[in-house]
Amino acid sequence: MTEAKRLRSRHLVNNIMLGLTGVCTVFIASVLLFILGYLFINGARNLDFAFFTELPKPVGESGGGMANAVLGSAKILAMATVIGVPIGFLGGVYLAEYGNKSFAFVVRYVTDLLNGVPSIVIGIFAYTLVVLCVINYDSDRSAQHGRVPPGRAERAA
Amino acid sequence: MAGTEAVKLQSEARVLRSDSDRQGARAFALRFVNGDDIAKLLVTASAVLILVVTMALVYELWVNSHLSREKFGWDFLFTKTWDPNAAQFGALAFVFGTCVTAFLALLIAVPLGVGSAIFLSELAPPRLSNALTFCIELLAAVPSVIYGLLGVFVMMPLIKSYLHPLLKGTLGWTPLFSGPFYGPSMLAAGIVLAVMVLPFIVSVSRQVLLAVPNDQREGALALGATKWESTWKVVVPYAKRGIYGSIFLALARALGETMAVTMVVGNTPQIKASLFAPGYSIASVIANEFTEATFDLYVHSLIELGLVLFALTIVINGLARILVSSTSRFSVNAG
Repeated sequence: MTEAKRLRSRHLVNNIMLGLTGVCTVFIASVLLFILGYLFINGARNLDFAFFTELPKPVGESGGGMANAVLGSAKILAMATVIGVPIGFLGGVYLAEYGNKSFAFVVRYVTDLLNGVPSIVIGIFAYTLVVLCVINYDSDRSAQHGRVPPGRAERAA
Repeated sequence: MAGTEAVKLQSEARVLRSDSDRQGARAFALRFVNGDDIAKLLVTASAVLILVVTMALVYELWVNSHLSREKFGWDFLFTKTWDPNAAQFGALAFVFGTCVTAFLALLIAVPLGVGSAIFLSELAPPRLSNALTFCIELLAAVPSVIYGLLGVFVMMPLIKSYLHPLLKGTLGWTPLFSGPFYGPSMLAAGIVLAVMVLPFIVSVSRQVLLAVPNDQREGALALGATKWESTWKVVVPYAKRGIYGSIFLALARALGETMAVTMVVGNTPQIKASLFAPGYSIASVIANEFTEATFDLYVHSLIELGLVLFALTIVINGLARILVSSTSRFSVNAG
């Protein structure tokens, strides 16, 4: 009798927990559908050809587009592709063709780690590498000299 | 064929090498004509370049934070004053905000994600499982700024009208859920982050669960276990390390997330117990203040924050990779 009860409760737990896993999945999938639907419903009706071809109008005026942002994204993407794809692709070929030594292991491991580095840290890296070399951000000095921005020569001095 | 040609070219090269310098150079070039050596050189150089870039990243972060490191030392991590006007910089409030939002995200995302991964690997028919997994992985491809927007326009009003009264009514006596809710808060950031890291947990956990040998399931079922018992007591423990790995991966993502958090966290450097209070995170403060940092110590302090974040994610990611690769042999691609 108790054995039968136990069995029934075990089956109940089985059904509840398996049902819950299904609920989890449905929930996550519905979040995705919601995001796509929200973007589509609220975004698509405002899309027209001008959105991609015109510059933004001043605040308060209707119309205009995002041509500058589209072009900017395209330029940045193109530069990133030109620099990143060959290195990444050739590095991948190295790992596939010669990749059974300890050096290859190190490369693979470091690549994985680099993949997880937050984008903001990469941003700082690019800043120190590119921007700091060109511009000195010390506003006190630029204020003294009455011009912005002081160049590299002054930084060295 | 390439081989015989290479031999021919090499012998030719050997003959030529004995001639003048100019011919020696030509021979040297000829040796490379067959391309294998060039290809190997090129791909090895690319691989080395990846290492060099990573080392340069560490070097730049280290060198460009020296002012702050020398002035504050380890106290940088343990003081909470962040006052650019007084040139006092302490990271504690940001470290607190980062850890709390990331932890909250995991608290929500781990049960949901692991549950969903169990459904997809154990219950769903393969075709449905693949389709749903594809959908869930699409979530990872949504740009973070869109999560931030939806957090501001959709989620915050929902929390304000439903979740906040509910939590306040039931758990309002704890310091965690006290105080008013204005919108931007640690809670909002935690929920947005939870949605953002779910795809990583689901996709990696599902992979490691699928890698569990069928013998394990059959063994448990043959002993009279129900489907759930075989899953929870045999399959999941077998894949435990891989699931931990996926959680660590998610944690690393949550710690480093910038845009979505900045939009919903409130950007106030304070340490409050209440989840309804606004806070700040390391990544957000770097994003907000980097362009307006007016003196060197300020910039160096922000870069040191970047260094802290980098160290944190490197350690957590390293742990995750080790855990995941010890259960399943395929490499994990979280990107």
